[in-house]
Amino acid sequence: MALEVDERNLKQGLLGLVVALVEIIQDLVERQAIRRIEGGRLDEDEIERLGKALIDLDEAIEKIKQDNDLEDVVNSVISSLDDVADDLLNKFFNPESWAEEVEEK
Amino acid sequence: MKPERDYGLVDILDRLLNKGAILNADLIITVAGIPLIGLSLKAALASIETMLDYGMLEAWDRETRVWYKRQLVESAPHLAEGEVVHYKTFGYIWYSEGLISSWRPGFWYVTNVRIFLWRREPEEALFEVLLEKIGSIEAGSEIDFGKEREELDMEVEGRIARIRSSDVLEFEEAIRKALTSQDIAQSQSGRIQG
Amino acid sequence: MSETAKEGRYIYSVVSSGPESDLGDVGIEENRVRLVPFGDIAAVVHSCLAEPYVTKDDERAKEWVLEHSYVIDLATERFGTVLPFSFDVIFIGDDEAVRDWLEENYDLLKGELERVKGEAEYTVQIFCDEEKLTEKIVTADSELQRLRDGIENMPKGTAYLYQKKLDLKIKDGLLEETARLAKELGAKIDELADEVKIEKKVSWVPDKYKEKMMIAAFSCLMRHDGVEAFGDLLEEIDKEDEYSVRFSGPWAPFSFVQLKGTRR
Repeated sequence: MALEVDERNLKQGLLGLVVALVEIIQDLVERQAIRRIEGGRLDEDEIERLGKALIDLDEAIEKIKQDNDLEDVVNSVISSLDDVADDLLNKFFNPESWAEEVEEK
Repeated sequence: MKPERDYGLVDILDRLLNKGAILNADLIITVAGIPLIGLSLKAALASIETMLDYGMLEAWDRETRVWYKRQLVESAPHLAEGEVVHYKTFGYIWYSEGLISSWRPGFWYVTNVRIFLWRREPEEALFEVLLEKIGSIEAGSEIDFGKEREELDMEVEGRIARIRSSDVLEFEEAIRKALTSQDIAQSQSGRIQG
Repeated sequence: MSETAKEGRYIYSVVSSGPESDLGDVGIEENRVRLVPFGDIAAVVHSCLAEPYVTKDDERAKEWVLEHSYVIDLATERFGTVLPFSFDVIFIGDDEAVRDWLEENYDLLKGELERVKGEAEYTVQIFCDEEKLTEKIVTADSELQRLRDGIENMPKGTAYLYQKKLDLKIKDGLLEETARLAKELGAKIDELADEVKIEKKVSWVPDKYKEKMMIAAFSCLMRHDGVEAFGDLLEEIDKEDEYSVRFSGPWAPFSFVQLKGTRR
């Protein structure tokens, strides 16, 4: 399966990768923020400021995706990473299936 | 809840292309085991091609042979009383109308009355001209898609009909012969009348 | 095109042999489909060139596939147990070659035929309406409900964070719910089916399921008499508003036939 690499899709590919990673980090930061709220370590003002900053980040990411037509690329990167993660976790919890796979090959 | 068998082609496609038994490579010719690439039928079918051009040529080849066979099975066009066919050949005429331009195929008939291009199916005279209306004819070659092709240009009432056939020079000869015989016939009838 | 095209046999399936030896001109490209028997088993084939059937013509390819499928259905009707082959498997050689292969692998083939006798393949896909399921989860949990109601009155930044919290909690709830369903189903399937194969990737779903989330997809090899009870179980799930079940079959055992390791 040959992949045609031209200037446009190289840029998309690289940019898509970067944006996908940023989205993952965004997700992690948001989860962190929630944990801090639950832990009572932030006051009302801090929560509001943090929330607003994250909204800005989210909007910026959306704009970059739209301007560069990256929606599909980013989704596919994230879903591939999900698959890899699933696969690894699966092997971790189910070593027999890993052995089976090796045998098949 | 009862199981259904009605989900159509893609379910069947999925089973036949991705599942089912296969054999060792040395026993068989197979293209099985290639995963479905995409969701559309086109993509699914693309996965079973090993030789792209092979498939293309085969289909075209078969289609063309069928067409020719039908064309060659004789069924003559309608001729007028006293009309005699002098020459017949397979050929094309250039057709250009608005957005459509192409070479239309058919059989050229040169008779003692007219020249016409006849298509058998559906039956249609694609072009027709009485001998007396023909102005001039000129055979030459044209470069078309990198290939040199012989062409006959026929002038009829100020317009040029572009014609191709298997042997353009022979065709030209046939037309000229028909025209001269007509001249003879006309002058003869002229003498008789006059 | 090949100069000396060799002879081949397009193989549709291996069956437990019956009295008929000819199925008629029902094969791909209207070829005559016949049996090449060996003892009490037989291969269902048509004679052709040792070249694969390939085409770029969608219509034609569709016809081929349907014709192959039809032959398998016909064979199932006549002979009961069928080991279905993939599309376009063409044996190099003539009837003798096929017979030799049947002989050499008789034990394996006979064994497979016995294994799938009286059984058929059924495919199940379970979809959920995410919105409806979410609603179910939230209304069942007072904390989540309070959270959802509270968000409406919060300032922008705070609302964003609490919404994210709600989303995460709902996600957990969805996983819990589907795990519960899987456990319930799993136990019952173990009872009724002889084999189960999980489908990692499903290539296509009908339009009415396109917007839904697929939470389970598997094929099972089941005896004919187990189908009703299985159907009842699936009905229970399908009845619930949040779930839709797609149940298809009977199919010949495409997903369960194992012929790897045939000799030669």
